[in-house]
Amino acid sequence: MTAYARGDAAAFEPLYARHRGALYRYFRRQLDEAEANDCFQTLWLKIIHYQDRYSPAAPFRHYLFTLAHNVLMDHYREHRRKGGHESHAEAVDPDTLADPDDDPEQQHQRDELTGHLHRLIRSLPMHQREAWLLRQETSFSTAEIAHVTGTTEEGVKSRLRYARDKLKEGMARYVR
Amino acid sequence: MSDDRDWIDDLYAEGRDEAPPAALDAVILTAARDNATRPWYRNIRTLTTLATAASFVLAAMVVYYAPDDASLTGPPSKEAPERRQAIDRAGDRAAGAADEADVPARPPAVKVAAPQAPAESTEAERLAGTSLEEAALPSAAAPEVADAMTDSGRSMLSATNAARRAEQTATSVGLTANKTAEPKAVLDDVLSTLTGRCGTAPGTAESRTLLQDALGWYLAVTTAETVTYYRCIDDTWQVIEEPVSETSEQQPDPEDDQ
Repeated sequence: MTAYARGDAAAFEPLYARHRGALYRYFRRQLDEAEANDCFQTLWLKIIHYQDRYSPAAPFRHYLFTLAHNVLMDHYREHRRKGGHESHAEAVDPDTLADPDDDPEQQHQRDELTGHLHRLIRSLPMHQREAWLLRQETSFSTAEIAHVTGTTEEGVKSRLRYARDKLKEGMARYVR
Repeated sequence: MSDDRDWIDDLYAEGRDEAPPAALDAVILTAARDNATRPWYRNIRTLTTLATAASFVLAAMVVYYAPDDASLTGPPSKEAPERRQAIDRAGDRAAGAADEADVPARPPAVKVAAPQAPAESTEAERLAGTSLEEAALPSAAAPEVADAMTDSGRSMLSATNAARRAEQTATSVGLTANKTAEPKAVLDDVLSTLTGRCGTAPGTAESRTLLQDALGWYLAVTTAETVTYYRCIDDTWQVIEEPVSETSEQQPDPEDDQ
């Protein structure tokens, strides 16, 4: 990032390649596709235009996901002003998930399970969902997640625990 | 970590192959390249910084070069060196005349019919008066300055005359120093100013001569027997009479000033 800020255009591509997947899934697991694309693009354009704001004192991933968290919060606020849900994720009731026995032959079982998991993730409360996704996509420690999301370690631990319990409970009916 | 968590993590990891669309990648990478290769003058942050710095510099220059109150109300700066030189010359000439002649005081040469009180004047004072006139009205010493005289300049002349009237009471230098070598345009301006304040000028165009001395501008109306002097004081013409012979003696030779 420092090299890119100095004007080395080629330095951006490996940086982008390294983080694009995790960042995209961070948004995609919480928003629908169009919104995720919009937030993803907004985030990277901010990084490009404000390249000199990055301080090498902190790991780039912290900077990146802190910005991502801010973009997501801005999106929620904007959506709330327009009359949307507080948590824009589709509020999926685990009980309404498709039964894996409905059509087991037409869909690969693992893909279906993954789809169910994604829907369950989106049904989680916003803060629990974000903490759990940061842990999965970045392997951040509890302290790092607390730093990125602006909360306490205890709060992060609590969110992670609740999220895991709900996901386990929701997936229990699909996994033997 | 529990075993339960492990299988959830594994299950989630299986779906982690999702990536942004290629079109989105292209937009972002293009933006990154454009931003890195954009010249500095198209960078909005650079331009903002430059504009702010330029504003500060401009403000500082305005403050630094702003004229102070004295220069707004005082005489034009071009006159200052000449005024200083003329005043210095006047002082030198007056001192020299006093040393050489040691002329005793003599009765006033003019009869004053106006508020001006008769006053004694020595040869030194007369010389000083002549020189002071040069100092006070630099147009005689620098015709190019007089040519450039504007309305504000004429206003300054009126103010100078008023100051001289006050000075007259104390110094009484008399009507002995005349100067008629002014350009016609300047004389026309002065006459216009005087008539504007005191009404139609006495005499006719042929008999009228515009003169000046340390007290300011005045009119001389010449007839066969007398020369009558008119000064514009307190917005009215005041009359000062003198015999022809004495006045003629007192008229300085214009060549002296050149």
